[in-house]
Amino acid sequence: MTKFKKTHPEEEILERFSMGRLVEPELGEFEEHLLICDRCQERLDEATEFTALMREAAGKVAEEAPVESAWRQWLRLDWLPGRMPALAGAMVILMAVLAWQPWRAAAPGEWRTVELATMRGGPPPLAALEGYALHLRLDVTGLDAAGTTAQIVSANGALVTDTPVALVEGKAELRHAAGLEAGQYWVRLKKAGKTVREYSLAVARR
Amino acid sequence: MMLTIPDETIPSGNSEPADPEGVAEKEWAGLVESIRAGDQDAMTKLYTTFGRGVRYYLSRQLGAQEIDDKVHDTFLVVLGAIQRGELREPDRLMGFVRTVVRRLVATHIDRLVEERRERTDLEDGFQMADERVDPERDTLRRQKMEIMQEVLQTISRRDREILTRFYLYEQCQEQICREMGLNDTQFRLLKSRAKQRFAELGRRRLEKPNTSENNILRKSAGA
Repeated sequence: MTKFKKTHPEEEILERFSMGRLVEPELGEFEEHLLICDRCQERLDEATEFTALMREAAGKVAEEAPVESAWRQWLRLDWLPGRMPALAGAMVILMAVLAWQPWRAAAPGEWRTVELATMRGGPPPLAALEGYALHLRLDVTGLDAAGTTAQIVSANGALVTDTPVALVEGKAELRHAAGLEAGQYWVRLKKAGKTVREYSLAVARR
Repeated sequence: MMLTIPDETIPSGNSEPADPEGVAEKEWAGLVESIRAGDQDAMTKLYTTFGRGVRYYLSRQLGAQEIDDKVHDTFLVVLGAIQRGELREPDRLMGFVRTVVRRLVATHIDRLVEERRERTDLEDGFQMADERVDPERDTLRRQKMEIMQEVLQTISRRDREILTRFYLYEQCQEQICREMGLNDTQFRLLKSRAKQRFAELGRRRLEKPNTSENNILRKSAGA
């Protein structure tokens, strides 16, 4: 007997499904329930729309927010664990600043939008700079991109991130707030576990 | 549709039964047996039970194109398997239908990838469906986006950061709770409040004077 045979799934299940985070065995149980429950199909549509709207709105609000300089973020001292004597705290700050060199880092919240399309032949154009948060817009011409996820993979095959994409104005969009170090990456669109398109992403040094 | 309060009244946990078609699990075996015996009514019942769900699933995975053919293909496979006696566990009929649909989706995607590999130039007469939304849907979506931005701009910076981490940066709940000093209940409550705020702001817009845009919003909400 499936988990959702006698009852409807909770909102959290619908949300996790709409974000591509529901895994087996809950995924199977939920999909079987969806096959026969009209009401949960409607609920899932609402949850999917809410998630997509929230993601897009959060992106817009984040882009429009005033950029706080790296120094001001450090001065807020939110990262200090618990209370520390003032001098010890100052020493920690000084050592961290000397190690971190914030004058070299991109300010938090500083985004770059990068348009990616598949290309044939020739070296890929440089598309991004290290240190910037990335807003990637992928050309999905000729592709049914509904339900796809995107993976960013480094040149040595290490998975950097795996995230659902949002379809906005005919492009698949994803955001990578952590930015990337300089180097060659691949962005793969996946559907039902299969790669349906791959893009080259070169990140240059600043 | 999106202007109702998130449906906490929808039965979850131990409440209203979720078997809308009245085909209880123990009846799957009977249905399968009837199909194997060639009962046309049983085949019709299979379609009416699963047809809408299969169509919904395919539409979500593949878009709206060629759905009728895919639905038809799904039931051909299911019926064929039942009639050949290949469904070893008849009471797992739902799971079998799900498996067939998923395989059909995967096969379709494989075919698309293969076609793309073989296609050398988009200018070779390739036609694509125009996926632009119609103006009314476009207006509706824009309004909902404005409402959602207003929700985010009117909450505290901390709450906004939590929601942004979850929905935009897709950090998991555990990481957010750990780094932001929240427990699970606080996290869920924050999301629930955001959804309720969204519904509330949407209702307020509905109450505003008649404009063509508000009429679109009302129409969408079924008002």
